[in-house]
Amino acid sequence: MAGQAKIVPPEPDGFLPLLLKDFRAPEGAFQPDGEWEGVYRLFLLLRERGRS
Amino acid sequence: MSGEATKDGLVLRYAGRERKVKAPSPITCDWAIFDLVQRLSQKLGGQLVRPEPKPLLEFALLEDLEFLRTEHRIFASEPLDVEVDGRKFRCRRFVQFGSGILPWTYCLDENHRLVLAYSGMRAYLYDPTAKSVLSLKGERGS
Repeated sequence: MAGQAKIVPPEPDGFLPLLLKDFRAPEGAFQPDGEWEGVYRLFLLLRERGRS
Repeated sequence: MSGEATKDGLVLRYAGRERKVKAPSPITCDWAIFDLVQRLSQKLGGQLVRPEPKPLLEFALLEDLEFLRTEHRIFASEPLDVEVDGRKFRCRRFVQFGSGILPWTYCLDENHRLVLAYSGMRAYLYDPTAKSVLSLKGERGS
């Protein structure tokens, strides 16, 4: 269903391949500056009913 | 909201009210951890960080500037290796344990940038386009 969160298995680290599927690894140097709120996306991981 | 650290905790001021929180030092808030782990990684530099039973950091946490969580510790963990569609990711990894929260895992790249943090059913993934989306929403006034 459009707009619905992607359902992924919640076992430890098991969701990472799905989460990182379209991930573009950042390049270049980085200096922590205390700002982070604008550069992260929050994913809520849901267990699909009927799956163990 | 404003506040300050005192010798035995924090004083928080909000809407004309003052709240004193007794807490062991050092203390931080949950959203500061994202910055904290990046600085920790930077301090460790390129050295190989072996998982050890001894924590790298110990602190108290004021979750949402509301709930005091004590005995929080950050440990080095095994590096994370993930391969997706032939692309390989290798990250330095820290884990955080402590009272009142589920454990957090923080994955950082070779430039000490936090690229992924997850705990329980939540995950934060680095996305530089997220900032521009926020800017666009602000310009539209929504």
